[in-house]
Amino acid sequence: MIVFKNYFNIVKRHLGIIIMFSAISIGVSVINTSYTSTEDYVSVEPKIAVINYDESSLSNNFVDYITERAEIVEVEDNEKAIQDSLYLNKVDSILIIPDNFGANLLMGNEPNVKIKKSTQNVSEYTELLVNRYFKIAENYSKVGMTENEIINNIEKDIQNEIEVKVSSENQSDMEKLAVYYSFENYAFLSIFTFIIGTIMCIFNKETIRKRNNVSKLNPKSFSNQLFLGHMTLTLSIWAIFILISVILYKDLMFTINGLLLILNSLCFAITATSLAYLIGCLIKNENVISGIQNVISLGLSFISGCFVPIEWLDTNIINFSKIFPSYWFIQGNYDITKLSTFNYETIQPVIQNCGIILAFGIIYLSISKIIIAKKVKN
Amino acid sequence: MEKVIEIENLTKSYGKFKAIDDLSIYVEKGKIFGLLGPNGSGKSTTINCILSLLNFEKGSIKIFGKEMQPNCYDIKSKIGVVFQDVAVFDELTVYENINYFCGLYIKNKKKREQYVEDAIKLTGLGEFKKFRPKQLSGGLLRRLNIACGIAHKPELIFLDEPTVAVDPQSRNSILEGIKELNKNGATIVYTTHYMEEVEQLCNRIAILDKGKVIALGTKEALKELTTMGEKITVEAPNLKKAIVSELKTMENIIDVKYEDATLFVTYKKGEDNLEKMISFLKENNVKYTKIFSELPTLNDVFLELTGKQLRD
Repeated sequence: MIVFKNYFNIVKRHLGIIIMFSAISIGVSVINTSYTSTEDYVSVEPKIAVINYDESSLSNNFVDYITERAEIVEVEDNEKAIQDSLYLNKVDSILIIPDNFGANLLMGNEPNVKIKKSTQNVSEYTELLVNRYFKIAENYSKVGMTENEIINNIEKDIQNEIEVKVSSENQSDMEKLAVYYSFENYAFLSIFTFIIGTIMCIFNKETIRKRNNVSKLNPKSFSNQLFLGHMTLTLSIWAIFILISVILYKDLMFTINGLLLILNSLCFAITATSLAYLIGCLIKNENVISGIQNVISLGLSFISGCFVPIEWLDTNIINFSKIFPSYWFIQGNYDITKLSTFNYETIQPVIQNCGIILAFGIIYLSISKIIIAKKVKN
Repeated sequence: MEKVIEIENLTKSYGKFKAIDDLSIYVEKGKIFGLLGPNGSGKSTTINCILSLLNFEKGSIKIFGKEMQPNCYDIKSKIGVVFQDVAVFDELTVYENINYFCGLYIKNKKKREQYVEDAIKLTGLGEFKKFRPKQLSGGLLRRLNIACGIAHKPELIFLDEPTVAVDPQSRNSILEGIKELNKNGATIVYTTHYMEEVEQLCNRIAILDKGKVIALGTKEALKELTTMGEKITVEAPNLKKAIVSELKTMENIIDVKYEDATLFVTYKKGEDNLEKMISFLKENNVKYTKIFSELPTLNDVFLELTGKQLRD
């Protein structure tokens, strides 16, 4: 293991710059997280008019449900008044409940509520509200409950929904955690490409390579020891990032979300190491490392939603970013922080995501091995 | 005598250019074999082919009786190489560098430590153990390069122009070290374009030119190849042209030159050339301040065989 040992003798000489680089990245990551606002929206109640032709208990319950979640506006029940109020934005939407609403819901049929919407975006919210109510009612009517039982259960469910929202106070911290972990995309790619590129250039120097090649050291063993060295170094840096996150978000990190974030991050650290190793195999000149480092780390961070939310990006860019592990890593982080129930079905996509990230790592490593084998043959 | 290296009909080309042309040589165990030739004559290419760093079109190379292949790690473990370009890590100290390259062969830590110390002693780098390569002078750097190549005590050592751009003091130290290695039993292949080094060190010499062996043998045998017997130099100011012309007509003389008040006379082989020269100067009342005779060098052999100087 002389190459592995020598690797760390060389790292020792570059330790200052490695520590500085890591400290800056962690610092920027923490600052970036502190400035992440999760309350950057204003809650707006849509203005809804309800015209109810059904006097059943279910329709009254539905109206109560809407009243609790929207500002109810009175509109005359004629076509002209309805059109005027929508055109003049007096209302965002108008719900017309047909006379067989309750009966249809009880039978599990479509209740045929008409929704007339204005051009305002907020009117979309009306549809969401209505669909949510119907979905709950449909579930209970399908199991043969009576009207009163359905109403009671809907009220209970809605109450529970509110309680869940109250209990998830730490959701904003979770989002901050997702931002912290997603910033690892830039940090890891940047640090790993720089360090691995520099060390590969040292070991691949023509004169040194020649001397290694004439020795009794097998080239396979040489490249394996070198990769092991890279992995040990990068995983040590990864561990520092994890440690900082544990210190900053102690309560969250010892949850299943926290553990899944660590797993996702570990997979990405391994893949980023493989990518940096591949780049290191291709680099011949030490002077180009910083250029490549910036292109890879900044480029992949921009197109994968590390610096700007992915929703702001063009569909073509998002599709393009899917051919890089950064996209899957960052999306994985946000998906993990949104998880509130943990079972096979909810965790499976996260594991699948980790698998995709690792698959990229295996591809990069395989390409590196082919390049090395070709170099040895030449 | 046991042959450590046997090369037969080795041919290596770069496109249409033949770098080595049908080269056949052997190296005996415990000897210092010199590969002498001007730059571009094929010395380094030959070494690279022997070490399997280069493929070749034709011929065979056997080391320790076995066909040499890139994956012959048992053969490689007995070989040490000192390349022309210094191959060390700038980040490591002198000790760490030697320890790393020795570690490519020797796994046992205690044994390796002893070997590293021995290499440091042999190359006289004891005071510089903790120095980094950039803190060393050119000569010391060359010594470090040698120490890295020989620390594992190989049976066969290739030294590819190890004294290029080295001051005379370091050069002497390096040459003494090489003699010491040979005394300890190592077979050495030494390439250079400095004929003095070859004359000083080597038991057998191959002179290369344009990838071909143009002469092969001991230095004495090689010198027999030249028709020149000796070169007599006379420092004689104000020598008349007629005397120079008369000298040219004399028996046993190959060439006469008179430059910067110095007369250079090249003789064929003969026992009393110097005596005849002194008599001629006396007869013609030529006053001279210094007269001396030199035997032919390998450079003279090369000059006669190729029509050019070794360092051209």
